Amino acid sequence: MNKTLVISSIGLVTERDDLDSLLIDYGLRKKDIKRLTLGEKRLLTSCLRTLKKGNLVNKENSAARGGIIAGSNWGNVGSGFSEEEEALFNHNFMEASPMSLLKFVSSMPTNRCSITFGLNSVSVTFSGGETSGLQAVIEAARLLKTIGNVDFILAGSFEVLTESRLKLQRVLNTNGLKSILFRILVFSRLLLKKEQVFKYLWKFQGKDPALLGGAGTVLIEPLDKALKRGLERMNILGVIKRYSQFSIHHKIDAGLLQEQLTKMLNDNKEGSAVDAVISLHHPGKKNRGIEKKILKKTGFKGKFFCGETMVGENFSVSDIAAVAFAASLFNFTNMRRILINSFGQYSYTGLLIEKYHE
Amino acid sequence: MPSAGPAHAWWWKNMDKNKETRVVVTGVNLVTPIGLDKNEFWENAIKGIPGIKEITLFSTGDCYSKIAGIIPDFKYKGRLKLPFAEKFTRIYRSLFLGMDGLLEDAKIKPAGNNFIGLCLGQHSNPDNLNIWGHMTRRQVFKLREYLKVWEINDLAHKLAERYHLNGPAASFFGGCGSGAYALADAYYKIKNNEINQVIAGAGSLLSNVYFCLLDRLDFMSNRGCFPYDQRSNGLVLGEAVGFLFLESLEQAEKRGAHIYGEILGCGLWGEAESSALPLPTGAPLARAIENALDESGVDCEDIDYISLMGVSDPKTDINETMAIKKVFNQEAFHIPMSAITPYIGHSMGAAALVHTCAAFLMLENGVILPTLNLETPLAECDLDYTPREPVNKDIDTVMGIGYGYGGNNCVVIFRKKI
Repeated sequence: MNKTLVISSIGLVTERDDLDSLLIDYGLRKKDIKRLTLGEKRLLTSCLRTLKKGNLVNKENSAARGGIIAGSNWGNVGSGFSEEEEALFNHNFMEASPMSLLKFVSSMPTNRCSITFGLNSVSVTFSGGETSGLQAVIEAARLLKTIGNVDFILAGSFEVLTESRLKLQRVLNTNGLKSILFRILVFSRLLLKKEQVFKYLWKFQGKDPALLGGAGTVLIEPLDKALKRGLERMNILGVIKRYSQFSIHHKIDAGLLQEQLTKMLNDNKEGSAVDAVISLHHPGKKNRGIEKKILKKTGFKGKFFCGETMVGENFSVSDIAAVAFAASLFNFTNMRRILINSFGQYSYTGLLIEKYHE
Repeated sequence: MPSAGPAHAWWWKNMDKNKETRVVVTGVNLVTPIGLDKNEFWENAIKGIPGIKEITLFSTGDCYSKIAGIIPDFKYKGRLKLPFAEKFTRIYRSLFLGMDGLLEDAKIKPAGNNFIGLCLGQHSNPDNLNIWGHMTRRQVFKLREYLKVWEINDLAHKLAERYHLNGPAASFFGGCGSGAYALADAYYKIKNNEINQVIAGAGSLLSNVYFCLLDRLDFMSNRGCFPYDQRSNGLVLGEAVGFLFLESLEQAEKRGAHIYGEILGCGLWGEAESSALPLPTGAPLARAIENALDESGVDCEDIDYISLMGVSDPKTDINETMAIKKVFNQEAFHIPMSAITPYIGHSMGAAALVHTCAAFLMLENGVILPTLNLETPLAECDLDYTPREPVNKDIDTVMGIGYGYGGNNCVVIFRKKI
């Protein structure tokens, strides 16, 4: 049960990345790539990057006991890339290809990755809201700790949202309901800031399709197995120490947050203090004040990074970007312990990672 | 200082982090076409009343299949004081109803300080699909509904919010094996000493979009649900909601809860070959079964009953049988097994968990529910599927099989004796 779990590589994909060429290089046929949804393409590419960096890209090497766990806030629907989906959106669904069905299935990107890279030990898709990225890392850590027949797990997230919003917006425009939608968007705080709501709303005229979204994965493996397969110690990006999660309903429970943060920050045998907190607040900044106050109470004196400004707001993909950011801090600074706090509209997820030392 | 409630605070303080926690089930509930709670389900199941009927919920148009197991319409009058309960869509009302029954069965009062987790297996949110359907036909729909399209985890979070569950809440998607994945995750959370009470649930209701697209893929039957039978020619979809209340044995004993059984282990294995059909050899499912047996420390001869998926698709049914034979060899012919699919239809994302709920009721009542509609088995399906009539038998160790397209295989082993 007490395994040391290490992060050995990270792969990120943004909106503007060229997805096809990497996949073609890997050996996927053009016509197969054409059939993929954007979510599938993004997750495939980020997995490929992660596996390449982790020297696990050969199917023969990785097929044996690798797994994949992917989280998403928005799911798979809405690429708007394929002809079938265009047909599905623009005409009666009975005229669309029945293969459009697969686009409604949220687990398809994960399945596609497990099929392509032979990751057959665990293949799990889930959604825990905007904090799904960190939750995927936690799920992977939990499974690696508990079950013995997995050598490594790719944990990550994918987000596809803008195209579907575009389509929705077009439909709503035709119904003359745009202004009502705008008010609902503002009041329901579905997006990060009011300015963003404005920005998106006015860009939804079909000209500028995408700013958000992407995919990111981290390779997590038990230290002994990683060393056995030949991973060099200097290439280890971080060690997963602790994690914590709970639900948020309307308002964050300050007592519960204090309990969880105290547990993560102070309850460690090594006695080492946390050097930095990377704080991601997905639905808005209303919880940041509470977070800072509680961190102060727990005696935290390290650096405090606002995640949105450091890694950008890509919903669950930001969480993976925050892990990458923490890994780079380990590399370029003297920091040894970093806590990533991710606050979504419905959930809090915290992950404490440490710089690897022998 | 901690606000996580007395039970959680007590557990957190006293737990031994290096000790493996035993996980037990202390609450079961089902909402199905043949019963809106576990008692009604059991009464009708024992009588052999099937719930598959002609679809009147939506127009099936030119679809080849016209039948499904639909949860009968009901007025929600549960413990949630909802002034406009009828405004909630069917999936929400069914989940609320299932959750009410579960909490009553587990004797849990939802309050703000409950640190209870929620793992919800779902195939897709039918509300979302229905709205996509509206959109494609350029119909006007309610804006309130529109907002639901945005997030795929809406159901889990809304449930957690309504029932004041403070623990982690997430939705799991693994095709038709989603429910089993949710159960496995809930089990691992408790086993790993992260939390001591988790609700594992699954819900799947039909939407016209999904039904029509699946129909066009020629996966559906117009005849009926005949698992392992020569008459089987495709799926008959169904609706169901199932919930299990999982907690650590220590916590259950402390609060004097009724224990249905203990979960011994889970086995996960992906197929990594095809996005739709299972491998014809049954090898990946066999691997999941082996993993579950390994993890739970149970031998093949200890299994008293196997809860099958039995989706009524000949290829899949044969694959399931082959996987069992591959692991159990000759022992496979002596183990009673059955699928409750002919009662309620194939409830997709909820199927594996709902079948497990039914298996817990079988453990409790000492009766094995039969595989209805099984007259002349397929040549390859030659195991003991408990056809037609229920069988009185005290069973102790049970294996529940879950699999779905995309190659998601998940097997759970549990037993009655503690």
